[in-house]
Amino acid sequence: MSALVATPVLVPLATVALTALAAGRPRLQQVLSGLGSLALLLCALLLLGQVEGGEGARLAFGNWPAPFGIEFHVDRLSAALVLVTALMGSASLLFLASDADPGRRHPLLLPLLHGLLVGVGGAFVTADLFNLYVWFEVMLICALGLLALGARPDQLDGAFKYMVLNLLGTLLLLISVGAVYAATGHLNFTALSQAAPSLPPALAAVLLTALLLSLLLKSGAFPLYAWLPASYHTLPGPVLALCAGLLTKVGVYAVLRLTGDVFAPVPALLPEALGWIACATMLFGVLGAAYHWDMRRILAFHIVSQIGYILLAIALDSAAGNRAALFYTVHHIVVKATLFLLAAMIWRYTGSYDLRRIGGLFRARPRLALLFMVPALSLVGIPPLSGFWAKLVVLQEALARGHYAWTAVALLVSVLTLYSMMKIWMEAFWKDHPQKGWSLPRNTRLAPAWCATLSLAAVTLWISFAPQALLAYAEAAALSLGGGR
Amino acid sequence: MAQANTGQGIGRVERLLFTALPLSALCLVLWKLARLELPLSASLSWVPALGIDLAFHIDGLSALMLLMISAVGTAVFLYAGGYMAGHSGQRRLFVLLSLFMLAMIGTVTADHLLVLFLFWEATSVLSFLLVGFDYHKSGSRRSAQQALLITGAGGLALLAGFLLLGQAAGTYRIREIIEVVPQLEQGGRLTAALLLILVGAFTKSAQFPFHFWLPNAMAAPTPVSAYLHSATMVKLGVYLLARLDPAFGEWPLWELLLKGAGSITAAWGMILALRERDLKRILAWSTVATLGTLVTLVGMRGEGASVAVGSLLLAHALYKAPLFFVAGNIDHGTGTRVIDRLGNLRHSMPWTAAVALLAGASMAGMPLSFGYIVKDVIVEAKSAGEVFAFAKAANTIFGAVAVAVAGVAAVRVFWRHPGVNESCEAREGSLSMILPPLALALSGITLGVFPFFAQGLIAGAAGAMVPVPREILLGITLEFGPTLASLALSYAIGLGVYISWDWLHERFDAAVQRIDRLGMAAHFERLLRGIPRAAAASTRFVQSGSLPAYVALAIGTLSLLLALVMALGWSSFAVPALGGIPGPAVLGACALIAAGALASLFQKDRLALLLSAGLVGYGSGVLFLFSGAPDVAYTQFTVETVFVIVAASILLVLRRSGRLSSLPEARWRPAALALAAAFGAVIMLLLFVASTGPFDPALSDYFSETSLPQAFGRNVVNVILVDFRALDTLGEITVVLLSFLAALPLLALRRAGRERKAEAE
Repeated sequence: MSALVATPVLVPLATVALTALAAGRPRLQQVLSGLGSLALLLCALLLLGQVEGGEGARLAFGNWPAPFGIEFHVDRLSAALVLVTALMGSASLLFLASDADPGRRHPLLLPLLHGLLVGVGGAFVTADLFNLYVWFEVMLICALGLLALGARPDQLDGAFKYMVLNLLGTLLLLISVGAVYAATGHLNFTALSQAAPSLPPALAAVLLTALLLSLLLKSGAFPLYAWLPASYHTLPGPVLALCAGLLTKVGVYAVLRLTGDVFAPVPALLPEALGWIACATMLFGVLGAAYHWDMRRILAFHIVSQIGYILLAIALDSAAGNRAALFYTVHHIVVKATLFLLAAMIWRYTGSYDLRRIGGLFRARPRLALLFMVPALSLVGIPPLSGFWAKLVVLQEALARGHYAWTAVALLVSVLTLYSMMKIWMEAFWKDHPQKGWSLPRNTRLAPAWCATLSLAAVTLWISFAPQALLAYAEAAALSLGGGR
Repeated sequence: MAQANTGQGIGRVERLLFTALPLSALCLVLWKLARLELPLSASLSWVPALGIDLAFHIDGLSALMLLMISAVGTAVFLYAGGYMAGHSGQRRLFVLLSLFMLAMIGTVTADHLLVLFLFWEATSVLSFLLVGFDYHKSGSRRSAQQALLITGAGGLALLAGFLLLGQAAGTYRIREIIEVVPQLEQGGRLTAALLLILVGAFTKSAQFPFHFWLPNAMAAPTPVSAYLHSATMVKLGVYLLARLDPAFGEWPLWELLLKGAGSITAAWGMILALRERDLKRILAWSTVATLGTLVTLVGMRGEGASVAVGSLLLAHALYKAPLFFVAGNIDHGTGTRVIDRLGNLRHSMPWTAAVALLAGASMAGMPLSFGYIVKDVIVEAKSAGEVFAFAKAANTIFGAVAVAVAGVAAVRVFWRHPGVNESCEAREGSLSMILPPLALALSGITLGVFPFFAQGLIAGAAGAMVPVPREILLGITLEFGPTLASLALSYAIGLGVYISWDWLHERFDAAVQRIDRLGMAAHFERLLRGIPRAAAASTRFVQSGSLPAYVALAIGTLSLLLALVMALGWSSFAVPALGGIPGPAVLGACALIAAGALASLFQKDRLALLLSAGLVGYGSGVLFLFSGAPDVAYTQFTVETVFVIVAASILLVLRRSGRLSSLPEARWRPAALALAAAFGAVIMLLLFVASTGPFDPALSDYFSETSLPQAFGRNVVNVILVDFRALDTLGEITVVLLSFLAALPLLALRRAGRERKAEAE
């Protein structure tokens, strides 16, 4: 049933409409939002089941045939990312029911969150370059709305920086899409991949550079990531987890889709340059994390550094590299969202995100410490957690292709990631709370938060101990891309 | 409640259950050894996509390690029951120790490099948690951090080395690797693999220049120090080197680095031991030195050296663990481990004194102890293999100071009274604190008298490095002769060092203090402090907090990279010849656009700004009109008109209510102008270059052909918007609606602010 292909957009879009209409009735709104996210999860699972076997599912809107109308195409790569999106949406919405840093309860919060899912879902399933741009715009406007929702001065400042820099990226994306159309006469991915070989290599390089630069800005790559650390830390915890998990990954996905599938094989200059950009992204990101004491800022900079790893995998420009990129992306979305959610719980227990002002959690909440270790060690890449497999496949392929310098940077960044995670562990958990006579707050409502983080940690552990399933899936996905053929 | 989980330790039954873990492992190992069922292999498919099987192989070397892990483990678990009695974290300690034991067992039995690495990293993480056991002390936290940073960094080097080795050999199975590698060419990749693996092994086994973390790890409780940082975990580096010795043993580089680093560590560790006053740290440095000797022995060729490795591994576990327990008992009984404050403890702690004597005898290599046999074997190995002079000197220092350290631990604090014994109420601990060390120390002596018990075990272990012929085996026998004579020298120097310990301590402390800031520990501290500093510098550079700086960086990067790529391919673009001067209509349209854009730069009035921007839109419309796209032009005019009218009416309403401020005076910023001009030029060139592509008119032809007959619309642009690409329009409508939603809270905020102001007035 091909209508399923449109559900990643239609289901959250319907939820946006319903929750916006129910803005005056908070309980009804919450029920609708919950139902919407569950429906999305269900559709994503069905979609995954549908593409597991073969070529993937296509849907041409208005029945206008492929190169002329707009087409959605869900292959393994898209299906996996849609599923993770749905999962993250459900987990964040569940977490919102707790009192761990929920932010301001604004009636428009839920519509905007689902609006974000519309954009993310659309970007993952579309097979049309201009349509991709449209979904980026949807994401941009929703993220802006969420940033401005709290209306604190720092949030408005962050939102403004976010808007200016992202508009720049959007503008360049639009110009590049226009340029691609001007050069080829096509926007449909399949048509573009057929037209690509007839493009002169130099022209292809220019067009792809323009496209990739705008997408790299959206992904948060060096030196275009300034908007991310400038704004993310002002978001309330659960919203931050969703944005952090998904937004930059859409940019990375688009990079992978364009270089590894639509325009594959790309001129050799691009992967080489991308690799060095990836290294700088990893390094500057992790150094930013080492510099900060606010957990949200630390974790926000780690997004940048991890984006570097995924870009490195893409830069390896091979089926194995693409496999690594997909595996890494899935692992990273789950782990990073878990970390942000846990940070929000730490905030609820200790009263601050600032590591200098908190502590004593190991004694007070040993189970939280245990739970924190799962995503933290996974992010570092300690075996056998999911991050280890992710880094292993990247490093293996980087070494096999003889990229020793990139490998060295990746390893160095891992050490610094370890340093940074240890910092959180030692300050928030091991150290005594700096306030004398501090005790846990009473009357916390954290059951939904525990539920959400435990489920995400369970997903991480599943990937960790049975990586074969995801690895085999990612391999099949990579092989069905243009670069794998 | 914060104190919810800080109860009164754990019960006897639970303690016994925990202790049953290493004990059953010990029984299993002994049973397998007794029935000569080695080697054992098992394999389980795990991640076929990466070719990773849970492959295990237990040969003689693994069995020796397993025996140490389970035997010392049993002693440590028993001991911890007494040492930590009533401690609130006792259960945590047992859980962590049990996990650690499992990780150790995994490491020494794994037959797959990556599986080995998995367990190896687990021991590092567990060591972090155990060193930081007293996490409320900042010293413990720092030591834990240091230990994990160094072993963790080493672990990553090891991973890279393993990957290179596995790729070069075409397999990750260790048994296959040691067969394949000697036949491979000694190229750059393999050399890199070798160096990286050495970094991993040296960090784990505290070899120079990564030696300094081990004594700091003594912040851990004594059972942990005895188990992790003396008997088992720190030997993993040696184990790995021994395991890979058949692969790299013939490489001169391997021999040179192992002997070099090992000898330096052996000598330097012992000298640093002389600096310490804390009994546990003295023992820790002597452990470092022993590890150095082991590494030297692995690096040496010949069967004798392999036998020496096996026997020193075993002997060290049997004497050093009891000595750590002795230090723990003294700490437990007197509250201090500083040797100046201790003396004559034999009266109050007779059993501990006995253990110390037995273990000390073995450490000093006294005849009738297993330590003597080991020294004998080492001497024979060194006389057999060619050893460079430095290694010989290092070994002499090692042997001599070992005698002295044994003297300090076994004789000085129990039998002499050089310092004031501050604590008069020293008392012996419970039975569980005496029996385990006594059992270990006694087995050390037993093996010294009846060495043939250990013969099969050590031969098996040595066999993993080289095939051991029979005559060497016979070497492990009790014999007095030329060996004793050569050992006498080391006894004599050791005695001298022991007697002048305090004098030497002062000299060495003063001397070494002077070069402390050049030492590796100081370098590490500097590096650690450098991380936040480098982080601050780089972050302030990229993330300055100023939006104009961000925008300048972003636009600058985009322009530069785009310009670079275009410049690289410039010569190959099929630049179309300009078709003469365009008609006056096109020129007029361009003039209109340029005028609008330039005018908008200098407007302070918002309404005028809107109108100048509108000129750009109309100019574009005119351009479309005369470039053969009247439908696009029509749409452009409509959109532009509607936009200007709507926006202007809003502005007029605002002006009438007096809430329309004019824009601030534009400042003259030449750098910004240059950047903007560059970006504009790059974008213009980009579009120009794009127009040189092989444009496929299929889409536009299709749209104009099917617009009327199939979509029933005469205006192609409209049909594209509402039919062909209706989904884009839906998305854009969504954007508009969502931006309305997003703006609502801000508008509400302004209104609330105004109302507050009105109320205040």
